Amino acid sequence: MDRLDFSQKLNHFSYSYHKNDDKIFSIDDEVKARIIISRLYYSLFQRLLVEVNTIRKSSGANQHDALSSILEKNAGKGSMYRKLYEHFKDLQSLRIWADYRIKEDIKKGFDFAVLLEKNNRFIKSKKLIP
Amino acid sequence: MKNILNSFVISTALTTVSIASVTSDYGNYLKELNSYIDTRENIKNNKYFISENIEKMQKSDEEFYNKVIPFLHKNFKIIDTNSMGHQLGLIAKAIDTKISSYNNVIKIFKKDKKLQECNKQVLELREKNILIKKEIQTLIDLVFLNIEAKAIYILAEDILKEKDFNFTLNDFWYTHDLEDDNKALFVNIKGDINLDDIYEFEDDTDKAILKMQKEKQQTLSEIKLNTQQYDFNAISKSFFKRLSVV
Repeated sequence: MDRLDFSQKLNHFSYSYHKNDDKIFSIDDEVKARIIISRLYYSLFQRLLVEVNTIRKSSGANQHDALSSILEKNAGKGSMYRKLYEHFKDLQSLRIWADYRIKEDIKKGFDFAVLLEKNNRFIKSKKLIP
Repeated sequence: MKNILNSFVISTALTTVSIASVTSDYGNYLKELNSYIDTRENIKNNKYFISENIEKMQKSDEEFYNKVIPFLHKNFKIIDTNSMGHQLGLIAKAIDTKISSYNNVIKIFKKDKKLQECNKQVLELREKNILIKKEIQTLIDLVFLNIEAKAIYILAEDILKEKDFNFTLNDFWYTHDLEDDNKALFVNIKGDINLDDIYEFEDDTDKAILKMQKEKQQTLSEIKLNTQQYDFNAISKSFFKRLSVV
């Protein structure tokens, strides 16, 4: 995708969302996927911060790296924690793609339905940090 | 260069032959330049042509960097990947030769005060080619990444055949990040989304991936690779650590 094109579509999305305009649904599949993934990553990130008080005070990339390290350490404590770590890494990698790697196209048919389900299960879990 | 490049870019059925044409044409101006500077007498008589050739090489490099490389980045998956890897290896090898030739040209130009401007341009050419070489190496890595992705997808399909799950694999996709030490091959599915089944399938595939990567390393350590044309360091890499259904 062309960077200028992406910029204009994000602007269109934000503007339409702000105005509650139906035009928001005319957004193409790739831009939609990029917006969903970017927000999905932060939904998990914020959910994890609820349980990890110690890193809330640090800022920027440090928080993300610290969280990743905690999840990696916990990955050996059970299959749920291993899957959570893998899901976090998937979302981290996909978010970088979604927000920065604009020229890398996605294949048609990838709507991330399973990724959303995985995220939903973790967000609803009572405990993500042992 | 320009005619070949145009036919290369507009070609809908891209072939490795067209990439090879670019490769062979790419070094022609440098060969011509070398023929003008092989003796002091030649340098003296051919100053105009030396300058003209440097300009042609600058234009050629710009076209290669701004048009061919982005085109290859966009299309490396649709070309026969094995042949593509081979051709990219030849391009990388040609660039190595070019950089080495530039070093020789720089040594000669340094000695002649009247050629200082040309020398500055050749230094820039050398830097540009180091950059192009880096891009070609990335493309070579991406070709190997694509080959590995296809192999893992086939492996995953075989594993799923043994299971009694209500979904089938639809396609695979991956990001171009080559440094991710927990890299996943992303696949999408058709059918029911049952997370427990999906996780079981992922775990079984991950074990098979690990086994496959170990066997690859073992095989590579036992055979002597034929790397006469180009040292494909990407061949020994294992990019994907696991599969993830998304």
